[in-house]
Amino acid sequence: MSDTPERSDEEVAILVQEGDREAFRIIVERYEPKLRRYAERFFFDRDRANDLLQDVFIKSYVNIKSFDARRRFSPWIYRIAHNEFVNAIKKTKREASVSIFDFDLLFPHPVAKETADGDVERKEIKSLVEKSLGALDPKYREPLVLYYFEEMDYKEIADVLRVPVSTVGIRLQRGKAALRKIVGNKQ
Amino acid sequence: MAIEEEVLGKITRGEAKMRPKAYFALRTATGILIGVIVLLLMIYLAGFAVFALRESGVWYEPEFGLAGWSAFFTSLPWALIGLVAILLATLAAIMHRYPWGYRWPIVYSLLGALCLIAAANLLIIGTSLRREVFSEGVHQRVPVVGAYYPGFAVPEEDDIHRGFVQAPLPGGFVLMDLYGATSAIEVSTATFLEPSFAPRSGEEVVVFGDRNGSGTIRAIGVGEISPCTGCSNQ
Repeated sequence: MSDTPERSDEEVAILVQEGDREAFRIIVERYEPKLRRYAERFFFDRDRANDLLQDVFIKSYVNIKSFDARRRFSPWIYRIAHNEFVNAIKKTKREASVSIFDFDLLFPHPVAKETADGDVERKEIKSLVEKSLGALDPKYREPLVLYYFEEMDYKEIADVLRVPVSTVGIRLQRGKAALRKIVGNKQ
Repeated sequence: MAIEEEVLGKITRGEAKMRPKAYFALRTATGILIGVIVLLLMIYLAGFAVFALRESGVWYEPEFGLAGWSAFFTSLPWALIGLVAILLATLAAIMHRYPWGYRWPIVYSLLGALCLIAAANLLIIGTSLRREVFSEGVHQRVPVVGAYYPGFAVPEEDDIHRGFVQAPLPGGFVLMDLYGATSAIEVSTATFLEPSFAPRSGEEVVVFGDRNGSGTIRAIGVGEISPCTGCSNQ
């Protein structure tokens, strides 16, 4: 089967669920560049990212029948990637700051509404994220990448990270503030 | 080899097999079942802890000022409270697996679970079921857990005594506890009493105070558990 622009990710996922193995090729084609960027921006070099990406796609195939086609496919596959990357980090303990327990998850936050950044601000923050990503706490790095590079909304990011929507808002806000501070210190 | 070929190759060779939908349905059902069991266990244990505190009289200790509060905290069933806290954390972890669990701050889920426990126990307290179960447990007729009941029936410290006024005496009264044992209660001017309190036979009371060498309890405080309408001063 060919990848036609008419077929959404969700429609392709249904084909895979129904047993069309070749349809999974479309999923890999569409998501390989995105997930590679996600992996490389985060934690890993290219070789390591290759191994992990293979695992992500294999796990996606194995578990594809758990995908609910009434929902968006993108947060579902990113969730698998997130788990795979976090587990890989835990194994090597390179980044000790990836923590399971977080006070941000415990309590409600008043600052949680989705803010519409202007084009200029969005470009500015995207460029800041690009330059200073390595210096950021992973807790703030991941929502910033998902929001500015993968263009997910708060709810989708919440589904990938399994955190409350209000926590996504607060982490984006704190992440942006941390970025500005890092850039300010460099200058 | 490109990732795409490697992944598709593994799928074609059968090295990666799709899990059936039933597997995920079973996993979800198991998660929900474990969650429900944990919740029911919490309802039972939390209700049991409150009931045991009331039956032993410890529940009423804070009515007797600072000393009462201090005795209350000493007598709390901390092991049981710890177990309920562990179950609560388990329930939060189970709920966190589902969108309706993780989309809200954990504190909301915990408060929701606590409200459910409180509501369920209010309903159970309204019936005689818990008293019957507790009474059976005290007499070790409940299988497995029965052995643990007697420990909760009496407070660890012998400083709180719940029972009925058997007979008023000059300077005190005779108290008969819930299991039929009697003790002489000594009331002095220093005893913390409700202004309207006068011991009447048949009245259910709680006495806060230590037993002396002769077995008499010097009351630091006496409180009425439930007002008695048909009781007599004789």
